[in-house]
Amino acid sequence: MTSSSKHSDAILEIQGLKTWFFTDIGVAKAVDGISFHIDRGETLGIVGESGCGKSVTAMSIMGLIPRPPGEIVEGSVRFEGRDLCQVTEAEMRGIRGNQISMIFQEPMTSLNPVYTVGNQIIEAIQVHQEMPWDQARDLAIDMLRKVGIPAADKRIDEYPHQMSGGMLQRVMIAMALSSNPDLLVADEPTTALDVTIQAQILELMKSLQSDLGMAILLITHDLGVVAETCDRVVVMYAGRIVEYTDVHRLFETPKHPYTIALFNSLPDMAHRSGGRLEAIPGMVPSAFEFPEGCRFRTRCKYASDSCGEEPPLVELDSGHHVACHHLDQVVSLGTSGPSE
Amino acid sequence: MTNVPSENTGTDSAATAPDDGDSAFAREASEDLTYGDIVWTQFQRNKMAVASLWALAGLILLAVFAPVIASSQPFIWETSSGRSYPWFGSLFDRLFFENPVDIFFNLILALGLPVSVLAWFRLRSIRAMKLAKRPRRSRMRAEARVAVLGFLGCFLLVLLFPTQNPYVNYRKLQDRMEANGEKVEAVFPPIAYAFRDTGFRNLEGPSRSHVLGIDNSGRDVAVRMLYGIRVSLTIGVVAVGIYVTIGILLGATAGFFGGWVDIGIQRLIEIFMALPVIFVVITLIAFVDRATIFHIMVLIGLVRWTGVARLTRGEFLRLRNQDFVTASLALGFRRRSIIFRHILPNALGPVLVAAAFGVASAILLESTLSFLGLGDISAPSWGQTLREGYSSGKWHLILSPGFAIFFTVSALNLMGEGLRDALDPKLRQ
Repeated sequence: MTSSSKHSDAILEIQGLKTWFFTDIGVAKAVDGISFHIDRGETLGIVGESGCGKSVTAMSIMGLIPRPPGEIVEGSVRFEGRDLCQVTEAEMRGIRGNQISMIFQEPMTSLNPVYTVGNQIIEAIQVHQEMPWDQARDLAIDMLRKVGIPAADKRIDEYPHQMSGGMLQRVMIAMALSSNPDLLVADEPTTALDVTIQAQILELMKSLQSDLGMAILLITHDLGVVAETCDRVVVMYAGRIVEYTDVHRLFETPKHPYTIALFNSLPDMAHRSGGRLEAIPGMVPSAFEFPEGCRFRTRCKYASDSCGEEPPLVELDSGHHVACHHLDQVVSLGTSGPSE
Repeated sequence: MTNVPSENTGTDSAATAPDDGDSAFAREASEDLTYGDIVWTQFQRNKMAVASLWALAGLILLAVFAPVIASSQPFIWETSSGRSYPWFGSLFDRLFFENPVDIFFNLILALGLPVSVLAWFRLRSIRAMKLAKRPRRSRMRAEARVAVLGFLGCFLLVLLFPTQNPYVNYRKLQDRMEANGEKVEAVFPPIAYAFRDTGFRNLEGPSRSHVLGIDNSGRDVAVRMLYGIRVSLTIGVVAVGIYVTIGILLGATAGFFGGWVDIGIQRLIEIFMALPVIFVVITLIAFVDRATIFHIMVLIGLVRWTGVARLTRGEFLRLRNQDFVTASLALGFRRRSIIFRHILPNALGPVLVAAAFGVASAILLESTLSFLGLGDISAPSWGQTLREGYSSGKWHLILSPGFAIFFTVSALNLMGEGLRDALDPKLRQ
């Protein structure tokens, strides 16, 4: 990010974050110098293929990078003015699950099988709020109602194996929101669910956001989910941000060759012409051997010698950031157009 | 739960009707079945294991009621000078029952009935309060804690302020008084000897008055077998309790934190595993002036923890990277709570099985030590009688302790096997 302007409204501001993993076979630069910010009450999406560093970004925010081998080598994660990379583990524990909550991809395995869901929500409440057990239980039932679980006062005493995936994700959301957080980090919250349930969960998250006014960091690889829920979007590739803009401009005028290729590789009902899907050639490079310069150049049809030099993330018009040397050549979208 | 059309309670935020179809089906199958219920059902399929469980329950009852079956003190003693109840006084008499183990079991015997009656009434009144499940449980847990603490308090009280009455041999007294023509009414337990009573004809075979015969020092073997249950069970349970505690603490630390902590603890485990247990215990016992069964328990506990530590470490390594652990970290739970409240219950299955087998092997080890003459001489250990049988060559001194050891160890092993199979989801039917 070239502009170093302070975002007065930002609840979370990440500056030049580098999270590397030092392993026996080399250094994996999973996240390599990314900057973005989330405003109060907005939803920011991070999109990218598997292994592009989305989840590592989330874990860096939560301070849950396994150390060793992981380490935040550079950069800052400022949350409400405090740098989360500098606070002590005890302070971080007070922030986690309290001001920043997180929900996970696999609701089926994210709850402890030996306790009832109520037990776990109540524990989550009591960790951060001084509250007698009865009151915490009432709050837990209230939260379960809020996330749309029927007969919440009965289902609170059920074990995780007695509930379906969609129900469990609702429980996870109830647990994450029980402390009224300012930021909810959702790491692919709908990937493991049926399409119909996906829609329900996304709808639920949106309505809870407008009720509670929290910001959401939504990590996903599903552009449909992004279109449905996000205000602004970060497109990541191989540990870097390649494009960073609001959702309308991303879908109408994507600029980066990678983003365009992503759109072109979507199956599209409207333009069913019997042709083949345009796949992005090649594979995501391994985190141990990212190419020098622009990391997409090994798979990019516009790649030239100048791409050996790292392209800066430049602001085109207000708020639309792209990192590419060949913006003048890039044809905005292929024949198939975006799916929206 | 019936299909109530999704009670639209609270805010409108419950935007869409939740998916209830598939979960309702799943719930019907596992309605109110807790993990414990499933394991218990599986356990019951194994007839040998159930039989062993009953056998062990019988052994425990025999251990508790040993003084009722065999004691040299009469329940009622009535002479011309009055009536007395020596048996009741002897239960907590430190000159009669020297061993704290006996005091412990006697306390269970004395307090068992009143406490269970009291507990039954408390349970009824707690039920009558119609509390929700969780407050009821925590209430019951709190009261159980009070009961256990009260019991331990009584135990300490008896140990710290011992009553000591001069020993009276009531059987001889009765004989003497009857010979003098005095009238004596006495009600003795079925076997009217204490395990320390000597003076019978050495090495006599089984007879009507001594069903299992007499040992090398003129003591009744049946009584010693009976009180030997107390010694064996205590040694097994306490030794295993010690090493399970050590093993879980070290294994959990190693598995959860990993890295250098793990490497250090693993090397410690390897060092202890390299030591031949029996030689170490023999060597260490040689340093103790007069070994009591407590020395033996502690020694077994300190040497045998490696297996449990490795099991726990393995389970923690497996569970540490499970999503629910990451989730509880992300919820800001304390590390201690994550280790002991969240990971440990999930890791306990294999440890439980190891403990069941461990009790058997601790009993065997103690018998071995007693057989080698390194045990507690004052405690009526089975191994000791076996040793006398070995040195005297009398069959009745070999058969009874041999059978007692075989029976107890087999029952424990069969139960352990049943438990292992019941906990194994792959063997579930």
